[in-house]
Amino acid sequence: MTTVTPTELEVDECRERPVFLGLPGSAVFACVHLPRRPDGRLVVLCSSVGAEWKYNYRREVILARRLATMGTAAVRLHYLGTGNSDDGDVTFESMLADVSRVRSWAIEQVGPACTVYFGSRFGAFVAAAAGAATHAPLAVWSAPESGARYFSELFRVLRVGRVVGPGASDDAPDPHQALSAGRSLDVLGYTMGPSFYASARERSFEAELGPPPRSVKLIEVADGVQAWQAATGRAAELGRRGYSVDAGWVDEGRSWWFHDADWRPDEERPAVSELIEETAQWLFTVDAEGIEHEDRIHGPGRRRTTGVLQGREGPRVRRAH
Amino acid sequence: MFGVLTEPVSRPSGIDVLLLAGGVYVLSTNRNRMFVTLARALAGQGHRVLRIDYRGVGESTGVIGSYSLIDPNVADVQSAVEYLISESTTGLAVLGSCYGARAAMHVLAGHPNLRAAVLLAPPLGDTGRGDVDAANEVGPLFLSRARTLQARKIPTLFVYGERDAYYDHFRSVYPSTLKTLFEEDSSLSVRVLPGELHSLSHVRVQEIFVATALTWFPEALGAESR
Repeated sequence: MTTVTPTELEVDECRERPVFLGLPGSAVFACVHLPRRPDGRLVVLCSSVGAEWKYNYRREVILARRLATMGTAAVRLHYLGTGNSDDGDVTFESMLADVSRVRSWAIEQVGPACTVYFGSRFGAFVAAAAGAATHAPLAVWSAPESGARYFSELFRVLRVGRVVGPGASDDAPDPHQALSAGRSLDVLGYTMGPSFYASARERSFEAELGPPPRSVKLIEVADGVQAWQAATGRAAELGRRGYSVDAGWVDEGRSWWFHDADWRPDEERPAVSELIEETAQWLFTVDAEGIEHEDRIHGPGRRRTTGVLQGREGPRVRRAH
Repeated sequence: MFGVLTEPVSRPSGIDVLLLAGGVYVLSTNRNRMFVTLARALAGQGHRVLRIDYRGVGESTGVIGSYSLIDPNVADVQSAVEYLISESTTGLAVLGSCYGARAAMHVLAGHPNLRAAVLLAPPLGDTGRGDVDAANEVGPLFLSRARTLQARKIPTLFVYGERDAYYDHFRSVYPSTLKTLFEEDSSLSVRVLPGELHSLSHVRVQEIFVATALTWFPEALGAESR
């Protein structure tokens, strides 16, 4: 594995190390959050994609920083073909491969550690699958029940935007048909490729969890009653199937896709603080000792400066005034 | 503050480009990683390109403020400029979208290193999200920075979408206030692209804007860009 220009930022007495991992043309951006006194666990944060990725970005940074101050290392990544990472065809399988690659690198930075997973929205599927073989504990925010449900919800929002948005018209092709025919789709200003759709539409959260036993924290974020019903209903169902499920809900009736006119920084939103704290406390305290894990990777990785497409690219950290 | 620097493999042109994203938690990647695409393509033209997360956004520390157009993250932009200049920059170009366009105007209009600017849908008002008291007004800050760019003969491309609310405002004040800025011999020009550009909410307009910037920069920088 190669990395490019490791640089560090100190935040609340913890260190953050953003890097590009991999060879030119296939480098994945990742950032590991290193506590001052590591507690022997690593949380791998699996983001969603598209507008949800942007919507949740700051929350996930805050969550990782909070975990690090508690003593738990955390690592975040941009899947290949998204964010700062190199170009690539995003599929469920490629997302899993990226998570595996980044996790291995993070273990090199952290030292031997039990891996615990976190996923938001579609990222919950990725996190569930990534830790299925090891029965790793998992916390999720508003995990969709299935790929079909996820796309239906997303395309409903897309259709509403077409009908009521500027220059509205509803003559756009059916999203399912367009993607099934192999065409990319503009979903709320983000490109969704047919490969992603094909690789994700038949999946379900429960199937990706793998066989029990597994500790799962389900946190639903929606308006109060809806969140409570969703969290308790799904927790009960998964509990009946042998998972150890803890349900939580945060009352915030906002969308997962748009920062609206009454936007305020996540740091100043009580509901977001509650969401972060509940998630972090669970990830910090969940029993991860009994799980199987294969994350004993020793020895430093080979490192050299590498290039990205037409140029070299590297993260830069600088103190503002 | 966090940023990503994209460097050319070939000999650098000597002109660095700073990319400034819009407000409301827009990351240094911009929507649909438009700035990643743009940065890599500009590096292909020989430029070093820096894109930053404002304080409190993305990877940066702190808490973002109210995205005030009176103080559009001036310290962050100055810090980014200082970083580039500290690494032997001879010239600087900037591309900002919406709030980032106002940040670019605010900090760089009078900067001695500035050589060119692309300003995507800058609001014309100075308060709130670009509000003005009356439809025929332009914010004094906007006007002063635009006049500075004109006086210094900095090639500057204003880009609006024909459906942008800010373009409606631009059109309404053009005859009374802005026309002199865009006279035939002015270094300032405006280009209107189809659709709604301001929020970059469609992939197609993102592609058109990127193509526009990639065509315009070499023309504007011309002989200066080695």
